[in-house]
Amino acid sequence: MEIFEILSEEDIVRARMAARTTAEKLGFSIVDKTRIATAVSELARNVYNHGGGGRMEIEKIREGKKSGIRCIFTDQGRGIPDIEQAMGDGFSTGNGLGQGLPGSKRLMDNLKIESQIGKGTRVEIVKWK
Amino acid sequence: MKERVNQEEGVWNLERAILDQVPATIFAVDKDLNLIFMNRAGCKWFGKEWQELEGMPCRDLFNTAFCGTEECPMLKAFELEKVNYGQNEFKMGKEKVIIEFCASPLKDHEGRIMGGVEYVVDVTEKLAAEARARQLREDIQELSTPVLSIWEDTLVIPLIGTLDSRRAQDAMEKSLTSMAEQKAEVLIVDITGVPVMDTMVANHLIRMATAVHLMGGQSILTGISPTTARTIVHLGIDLTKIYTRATMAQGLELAIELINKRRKSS
Amino acid sequence: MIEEIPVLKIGPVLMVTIQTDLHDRLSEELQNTILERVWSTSASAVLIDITALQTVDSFIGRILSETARMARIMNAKVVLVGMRPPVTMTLLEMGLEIPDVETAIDIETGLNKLGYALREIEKKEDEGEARKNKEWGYGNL
Repeated sequence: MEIFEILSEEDIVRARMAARTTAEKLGFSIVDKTRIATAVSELARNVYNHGGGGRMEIEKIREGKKSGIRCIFTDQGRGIPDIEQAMGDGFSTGNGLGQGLPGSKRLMDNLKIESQIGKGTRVEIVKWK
Repeated sequence: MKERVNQEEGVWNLERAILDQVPATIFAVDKDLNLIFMNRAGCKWFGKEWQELEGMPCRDLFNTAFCGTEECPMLKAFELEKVNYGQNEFKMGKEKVIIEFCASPLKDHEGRIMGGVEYVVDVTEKLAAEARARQLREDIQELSTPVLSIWEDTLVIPLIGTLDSRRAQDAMEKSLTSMAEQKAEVLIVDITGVPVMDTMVANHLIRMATAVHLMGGQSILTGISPTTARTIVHLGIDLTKIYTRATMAQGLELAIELINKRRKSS
Repeated sequence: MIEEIPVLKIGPVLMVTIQTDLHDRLSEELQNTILERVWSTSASAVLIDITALQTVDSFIGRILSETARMARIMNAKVVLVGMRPPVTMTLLEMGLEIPDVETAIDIETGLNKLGYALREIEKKEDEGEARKNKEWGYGNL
């Protein structure tokens, strides 16, 4: 498992490149690598823009014969007031909160999100090979 | 554990008979990892009699990458007191054998761990067969969605057979990649060989056209039979944003037109 | 001035080649540079080569789209060249569009598309000039 601090804009790029590299090591297809890197970019940016900074954990995971990648994004920001709304399509344009969440969900196999107002947010994504 | 199935002696033990007739290798070791039992299948597999194997350290037979390390499934079974299963490989003579194993602690009549018992299944052939089947599937898929280069700037992809999500995505990826590699501006998607037109298939086709357009190309849908045209209208499918033509020949004509129009405008 | 993103002028066309993965501040600088060069050179077209961009997320998409709209106001058309297939498919699946931006498979096609646009713009310029002259009464001098 690798941990990446997301405290600057350059960290967003570092995070998505790390995700791409890990996906490459796991043997993901070229399209899947891009899906993963893009979702990571979106979620890392949320951490930076709305979470006041935070971190990402990347993990290689196994389930029986399946292998995959898991990324967990955590921040101690102001939290998302209405998660359902944030996950709904058509929500958020421009600097909207939680931008990129529904899109990222579509790119991944799994997206879990927990958030508490004033406490912070945790987003977990999983993609299987 | 010392009863031997020995019909001459007239001693027949049901459990022992079962152990010896199970086609997978089952063996047991003591806490020092020396063999204290090997069933008939196991003896046969290694081509040895029990007398030769008794007391042998199990790693002398198996010698996997886990042997002698803390990853040894038997050791883990002792320590954690639970069943431990997985996959591994070892060399039997010159051949590589891939195995699935399951190790569990062996307790004596007082419940103390006295060793471990493991069953081993040789899955080399099964995995090889699965790999062959997968390769065959990929080869078939490769054949059924070829992207053909007609002339500079134009590609044709004849879709044949039912178009499910996986094939649609595969066709899209192949088309886009070929277009980018060959700098082809026009993609003709021919659906003569697609037996059924429904909303799902239409959505796949629309998505493909959208992707081509997003990348800066143009797509033309051809091979639309009267039946298909009727179905499309009856289902209320909107294809107005895509170029459509009845035959491939008409599609090719349109391709030439589009390319010439673009060239003239510079 | 961006060291990592070269901007070339070829006739009335600005050619921008993105060679590295863009981080947010760099992409905003890119936007500024393009707009400044359009203004200072009176370019009527901008070709942005994104062949090297492996990841395009909603932020980059928005920057590109905004840049196109801003350049349009200054009478310059923007065309993106070389969008990679994995990026194309990902944008589609995310439901992200890059509105107001045209794309082209390669530079040649891109230039042709701009060539078409150039004539349109020239025509509009002529019409605009004539109208302007009438408004200011130059014709009466």
